[in-house]
Amino acid sequence: MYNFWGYFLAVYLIVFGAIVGWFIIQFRMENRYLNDNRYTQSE
Amino acid sequence: MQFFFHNKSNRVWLVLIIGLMLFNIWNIVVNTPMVPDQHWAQKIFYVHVPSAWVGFLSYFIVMVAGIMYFIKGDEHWDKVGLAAAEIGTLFISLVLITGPIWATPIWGQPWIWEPRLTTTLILFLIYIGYFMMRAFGGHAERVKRYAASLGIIAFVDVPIIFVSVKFWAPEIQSHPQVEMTSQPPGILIPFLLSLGIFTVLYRLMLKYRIHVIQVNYKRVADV
Repeated sequence: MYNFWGYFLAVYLIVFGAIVGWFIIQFRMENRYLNDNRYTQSE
Repeated sequence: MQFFFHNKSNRVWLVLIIGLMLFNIWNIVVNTPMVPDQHWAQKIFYVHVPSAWVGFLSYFIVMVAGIMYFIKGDEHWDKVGLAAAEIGTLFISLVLITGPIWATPIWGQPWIWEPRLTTTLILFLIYIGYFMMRAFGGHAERVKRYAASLGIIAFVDVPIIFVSVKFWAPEIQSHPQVEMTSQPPGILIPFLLSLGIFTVLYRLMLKYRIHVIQVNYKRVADV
């Protein structure tokens, strides 16, 4: 007998984990790019 | 350029989408009926299908951006195409991961080489090729033209995926051939709600990704 709840939970953790992770990656990239820009422009 | 979430409207959309998504999950867990034989596994459908919808919508935008790039010659459309291709591939990856998780208890095996799965995998592989071409394609202007062309051609696979459950012989089909209009309101309404919320989320993701790409282009131009 399969544990249906476990499959359901795995899917929701993967989908929403990936979406939240995507936002964190974008935020970090944006932060790095904008800080790089300010550094190069101040030189 | 400013941070994307320094803009008040973007912050409001983010908070709204978080609220809507939490409501969506609560609605799916608490209010949707348990389908006999599948129980909790059936509820995978409420995020699996919207992920597929958002992936296909994103690839449609790649195609439109490709056409606009050729017509207008504006680099903005190349950025839109790239952003949409990335987000589309994220969601199609999720479809290809969550589908086999659902199939394991329902079919007894994670993967069957049946038409819809195979054509979806082909679409995913076309886009892996798309990113490889963007990374290693050579001259930047030429790569943008190739990417626009590939984005237009790759979309041909999307209608094939849609009709694949009817187009090929029934003996080789394993995918559930569900007529959504014949579903009871207890399933149909939460499904449509989830579809709508994923679409709003996608709009914000696309806008954010285009902004990050623009910031990167500006940084490279300033160096």
